[in-house]
Amino acid sequence: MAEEAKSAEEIQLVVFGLGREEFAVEVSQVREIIRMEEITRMPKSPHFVEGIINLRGQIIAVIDLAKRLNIPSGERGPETRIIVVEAGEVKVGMIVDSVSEVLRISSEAIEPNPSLAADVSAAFLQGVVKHDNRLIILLDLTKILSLEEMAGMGFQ
Amino acid sequence: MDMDVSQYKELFINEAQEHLEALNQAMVELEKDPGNPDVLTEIFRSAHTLKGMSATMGFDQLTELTHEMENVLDGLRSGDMEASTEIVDLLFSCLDLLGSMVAAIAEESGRFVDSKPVIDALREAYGGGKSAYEPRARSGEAVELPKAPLPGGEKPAEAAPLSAESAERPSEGEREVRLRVTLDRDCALKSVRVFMIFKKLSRLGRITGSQPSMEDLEDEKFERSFEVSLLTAASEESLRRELMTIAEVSDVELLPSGMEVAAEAPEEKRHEAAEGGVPGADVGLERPAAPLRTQSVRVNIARLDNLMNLIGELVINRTRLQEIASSYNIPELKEVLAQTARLTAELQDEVMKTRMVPVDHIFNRFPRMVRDLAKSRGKEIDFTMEGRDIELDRTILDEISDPLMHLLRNAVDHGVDSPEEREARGKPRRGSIRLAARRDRNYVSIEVSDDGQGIDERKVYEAAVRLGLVSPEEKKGLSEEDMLRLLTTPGFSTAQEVSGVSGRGVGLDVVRSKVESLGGILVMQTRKGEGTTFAMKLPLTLAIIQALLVKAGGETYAIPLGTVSETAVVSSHEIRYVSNQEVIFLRDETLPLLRLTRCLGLPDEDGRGTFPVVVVEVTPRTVAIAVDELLGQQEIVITSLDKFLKGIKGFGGATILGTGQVALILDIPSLIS
Repeated sequence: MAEEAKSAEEIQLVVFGLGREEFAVEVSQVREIIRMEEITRMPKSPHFVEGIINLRGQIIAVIDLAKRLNIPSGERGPETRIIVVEAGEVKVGMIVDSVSEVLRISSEAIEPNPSLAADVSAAFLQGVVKHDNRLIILLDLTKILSLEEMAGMGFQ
Repeated sequence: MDMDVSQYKELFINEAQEHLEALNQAMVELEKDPGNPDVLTEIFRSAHTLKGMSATMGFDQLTELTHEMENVLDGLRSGDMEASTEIVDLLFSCLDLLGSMVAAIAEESGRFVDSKPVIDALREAYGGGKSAYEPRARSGEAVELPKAPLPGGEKPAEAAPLSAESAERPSEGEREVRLRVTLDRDCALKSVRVFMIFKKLSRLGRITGSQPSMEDLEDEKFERSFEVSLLTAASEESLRRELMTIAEVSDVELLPSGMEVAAEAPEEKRHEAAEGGVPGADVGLERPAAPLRTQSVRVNIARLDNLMNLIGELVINRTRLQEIASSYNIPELKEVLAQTARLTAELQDEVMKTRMVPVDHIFNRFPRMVRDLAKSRGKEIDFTMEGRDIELDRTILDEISDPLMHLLRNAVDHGVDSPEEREARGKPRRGSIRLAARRDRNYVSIEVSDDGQGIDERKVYEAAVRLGLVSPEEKKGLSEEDMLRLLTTPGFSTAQEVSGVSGRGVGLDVVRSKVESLGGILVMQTRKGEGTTFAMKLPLTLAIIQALLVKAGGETYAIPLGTVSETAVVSSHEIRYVSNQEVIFLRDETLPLLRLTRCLGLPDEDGRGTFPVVVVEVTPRTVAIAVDELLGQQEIVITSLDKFLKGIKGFGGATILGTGQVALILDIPSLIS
């Protein structure tokens, strides 16, 4: 990978597991990864909003990513993490089953046509990465966290 | 009557800390301008007062160290010694040591602070030609001072008249002596001094009275001198000598007295007093007796908070009164209440203002910090501060102290270049760092600027690419905003160390998140070769409100107290229905009943016999809101919700409770509409 680093085509992804699949977001959008903690419920919010947490004095929303993507998730356990991401002007925590690695890939490895990922609505996808026989779904955070999308979810 | 000792100790600690701060600042000045006699005089005066205070309180170790320090200062003042770097460093380490001693006293930890190395160094510095410190013969007893009851035996001293009318009769060999004791002009802790004097006198005889009264003396209601009379067998000279050993007693005068004139004495005294012969009138001869006007008082923060709470309650009661006024329709009452409303609002405003503290409170320790840091990094830096009198809410000020320290450290470490580099670049050897506070309409801006090399955009970019924070295909030009975002990314700094780029990011992520959590913003300006400025723009006051904390559906919610008119407990069989709406009767009024759980779409806790309700008034409606539990009233800091959640109606923000838990603040009007 070191040789490839010189070519200006490398990107890094944070890979995590959710339900039966592997997903990824670009490292540049990840602010931190924290353990699961007590979450204050946020009534009247869309079903996928789990609540709010105190992140060192800052209050941020936490979403259940599986619910957001409308896929089944694994059970919450010691591996469960909250990935704090920032996209556009919003900073949000996403609950995932586990975080596995940071992967360096060539941007060419991203396949923009996501017809393969049948389970997840194409609107949320940026592409699919094939890596060592694995299929990693790259999420489009701006879509996932977009306020218009949320308004469409029956936001009050 | 016991003297309130903790109060003296607190006073001592406060004043000692103030003197140490002043000393630190003056010492930084002195280093810049070693020959300045004004600075030296100031240092000397502070050190002397500190010594006197310590001696009074019986803190021998402090007294000894300040004494040795004074000797060195004396050498500097007389010109026998020079304020060389070594001497200044030594004095600084001496101040640090004094600081830790004071801290040890404050903690009551009994922690031992070893002062010997510094004392030896001080002695060596002034060549030991001057008097070494010797504890006063009886100073050991002063240590007991805190526990000692007021002298004067069973007789309450404050009641003692200055006469022999009391039961006190001279026993054999005793006679009455009257003394006028004058304290040093700059005597600190006068009341403690008085205590010491009385204690000493009570060992030498029986105190029969004082002028002014003991109570007034304790309250420091005198200028410099006061009179004491006592029955004693001790010689006048020995009395004088004993009292003069107490620090900061400048004079002891024997007044004519004797049993035969004692009966007349009080009359005489009163007369004298009436003529303007107030105690300390002799001072008035030396300088015009300008009455001492206090410009400020110390108030315990807890007391201010309590005041704030009381005002909160006043506001609720006002709201209730307004409710009564409108239900009985009494115009006169309404009129008075309108006035009251205005007054309470003003009162609240004033109390908020009392929470404002000048930024100097945290600024004053920075000159020393920058100086030490620059020295350890081999840099030459002129540090200037502006706008020290600008005020900020004390909570905000407390919070930004650490971030500010981070910024200053970064400016010294990575901002200002080394003297050699600067010379090579054709800049003056000495770099400069400026810390400035400025008031801008609705916020206060605190800036840290350096005149270093600026932040290298290319290096930031490269490090960001390496870390994958920026994709290489992105345009090479980074805006200041982009750079700040990258620099404040957690972990960015460590990566820089690896890559050898200047570690600009140290703690910057913490700085940014702190500033943002206070409702402010962090901005950065950097110019290649010219320097960098970080500015924190902070709100003047935090949005602090009184709120009622309630529980519903297992979560805690805060209801702003301003909307709450009362709380009550209702039993479920009191619920009636009016056109399918639950209502309750409270004081002849029919109030719609809303269940908070239902309003928020939470599961109901059914089948409860009784439940608390919070009556809220949102003109024109008054509604009773049923909750699961009332938790009590509390002052909370409003944190606004992220853009992501702002669209959700019913909440005015959130707050972080003492436990670190987050509670939502209910926006009652939007919730019940």
